[in-house]
Amino acid sequence: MKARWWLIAFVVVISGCASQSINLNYYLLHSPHSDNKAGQQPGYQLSLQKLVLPEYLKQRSLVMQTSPTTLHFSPQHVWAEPVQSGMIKALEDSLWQQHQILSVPAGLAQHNDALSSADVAIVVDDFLPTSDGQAVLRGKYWIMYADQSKTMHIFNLQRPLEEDGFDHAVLQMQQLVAELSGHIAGQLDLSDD
Amino acid sequence: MNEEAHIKPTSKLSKIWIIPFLVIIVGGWLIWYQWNNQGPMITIEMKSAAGIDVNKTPIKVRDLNIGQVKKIELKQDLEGVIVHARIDKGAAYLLTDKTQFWVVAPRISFSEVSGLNTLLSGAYIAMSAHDEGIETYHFIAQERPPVTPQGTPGLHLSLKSDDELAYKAGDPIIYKGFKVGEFEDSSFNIEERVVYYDAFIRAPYHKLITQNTRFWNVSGVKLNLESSGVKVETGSLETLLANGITFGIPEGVNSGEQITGNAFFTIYEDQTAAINARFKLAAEYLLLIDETVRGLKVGAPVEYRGIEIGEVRSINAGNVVEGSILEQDFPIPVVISIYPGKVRQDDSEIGLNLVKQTMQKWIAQDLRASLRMGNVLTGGLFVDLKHIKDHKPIPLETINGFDVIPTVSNEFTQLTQKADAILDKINQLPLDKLVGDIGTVITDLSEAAASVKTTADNFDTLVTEIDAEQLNGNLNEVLDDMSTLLQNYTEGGLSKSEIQETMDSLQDTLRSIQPLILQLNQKPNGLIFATGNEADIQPKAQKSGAN
Repeated sequence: MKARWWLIAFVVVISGCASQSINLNYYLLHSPHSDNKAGQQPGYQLSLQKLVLPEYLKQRSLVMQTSPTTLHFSPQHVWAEPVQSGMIKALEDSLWQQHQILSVPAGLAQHNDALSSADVAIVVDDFLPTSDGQAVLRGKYWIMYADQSKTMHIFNLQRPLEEDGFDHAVLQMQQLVAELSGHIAGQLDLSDD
Repeated sequence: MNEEAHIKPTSKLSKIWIIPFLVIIVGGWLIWYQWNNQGPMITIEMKSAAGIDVNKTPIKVRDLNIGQVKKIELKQDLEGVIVHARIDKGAAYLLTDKTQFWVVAPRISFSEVSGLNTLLSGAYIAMSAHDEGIETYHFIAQERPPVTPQGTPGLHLSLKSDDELAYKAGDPIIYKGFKVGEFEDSSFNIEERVVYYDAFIRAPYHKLITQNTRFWNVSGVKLNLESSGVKVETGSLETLLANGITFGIPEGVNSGEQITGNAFFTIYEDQTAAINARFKLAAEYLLLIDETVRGLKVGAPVEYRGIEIGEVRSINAGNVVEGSILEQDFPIPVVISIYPGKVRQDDSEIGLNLVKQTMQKWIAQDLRASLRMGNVLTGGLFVDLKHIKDHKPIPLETINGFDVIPTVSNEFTQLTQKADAILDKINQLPLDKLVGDIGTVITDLSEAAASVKTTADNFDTLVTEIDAEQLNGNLNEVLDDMSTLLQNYTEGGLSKSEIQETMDSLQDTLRSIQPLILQLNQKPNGLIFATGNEADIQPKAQKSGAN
């Protein structure tokens, strides 16, 4: 009888420790539904040599700015893939679909007379939704042409959050990446095309 | 019957005596006729009576018998024989003091082969046919046939030579390969110590002999190793076997008038000497040579800018400079001659003075002499006169009447001196010791080679002992294992990209754990006792009105 009471007490204690499981939401920065436009002839060849992200993006939790000095790492909303690989895919998709710029992996770019090419290195300072309802993407990038000339450009892209939630924020962040691709395409020397 | 003898007186002289009488008359007539028609008896002195027989040896003129040897007797002084010969009366008029007799017998020499027809017929005494002169019946025979028959058209010459007796009667005189004359006789003048020759040039070649004709020796083959190279001179085949001379007129000299009477000419050593003999005047200068004069010979050319203007007259002559070669730093005196005729000046005092004045001016300026090698093969030297730029002017020096031309060392001499210095150094090398050391090294090498050979033999033996088949099998097994290992590594191993992905994933996991660790630091039981009331903070939409 005494052992039965001990068993009941143990179950009660364990039940007190029980907690409800948290549902995780996974997000993709690039869109798997985008058209890769197979058969399209590239007008330019771009090799993304380097993409440097801020340290707070080098983890899976979605991050948002809660005050001018604080960030919040969401435990329930996480990236389905590292932000760096996702941003690269999104950027390459946007360059190809919208600007016919073929992005090739670093080291595989072949400079030839038939196709103009350049190398680009991007350093992202901030890429997150802010506390004042903006999605921010800012930083700078360098374009290195085949003749060894270099140009540096600073970008500060913002899109307002029209809806609450990470779903909308991630969509706006995708748009910011698309704007960044347009910014890069606008700076490339396409006169040779 | 009266038979009475009639006695008639007999004649005083029998008719039979007519026959002896007639015989006497005819015989006497014959004797008288013979006596009356026989020629004179002559005597001929000869060195010997070789080949001459009494009542057999004929005397011939142009191969016609005109007499016969009748008697031979010794001279009283025993230095010859006297041959008595009867000459036909019809040929008696040929017996003059200009008539010559000589014995024709087989004669073979370098210059002639004659008298072969007497091998069978026997020797005979030949007589020259000459009807001028005083009648005489005593003659002295020539030792050999006269070279030039009397009356032969041509020119008799007298030649002299400072050399030794080189030509004998019959030696040819050649002109452009033709034999145009011969030596007739030779004599030696004791006082002048010069050999004189009588020579004859046959017509019409005697017209070639003029005042400026020069004769020179062409005997045999003359090989001259001069500074200008190897020079071979020869005349004709006849002069190749015997001696001979030729003649000509130096280039650039007019021939002069033709010689018609007796004339004297000099026989020069060679053509060069004969040609140079045309220059009579020369300016002589003295060179004081500090170097060796080996290869420099008397007669060597003196050149100015490559043109021969003179020759070396004497080398180390004793009467030029006092002292001797035994003295240290004694310069060897070399006297050179510069001919005005060779520098296109008149061969006269005017041309000679012009040459001397020019040379004095040049010597005072920068004219220097050097000995240069004219021929590498022979090592013959010649004197080269040239202007040396940037050379200090030297006052003209005169020694014993000779103007001195300063000398400079030539490049070859400097090179030779350097070569000599190098050879001296080579000679000073301890070659004997080196050779000994090399011999030792070779011995050591031989021993080392023997050791290597022994080692190689041992190695061959070792290799032979190794079971190559088994070794190959082991190697194949090792290679198979390596291949399997590599295949396994390829199939199940991690590539570089996979390792990178693994590391990235690990880093990502660590970053995800980092907030949990921070939470556990703040709330250690948070891992077990979840709060459950944490709000899901998400981005908020921009407030309307805000930018």
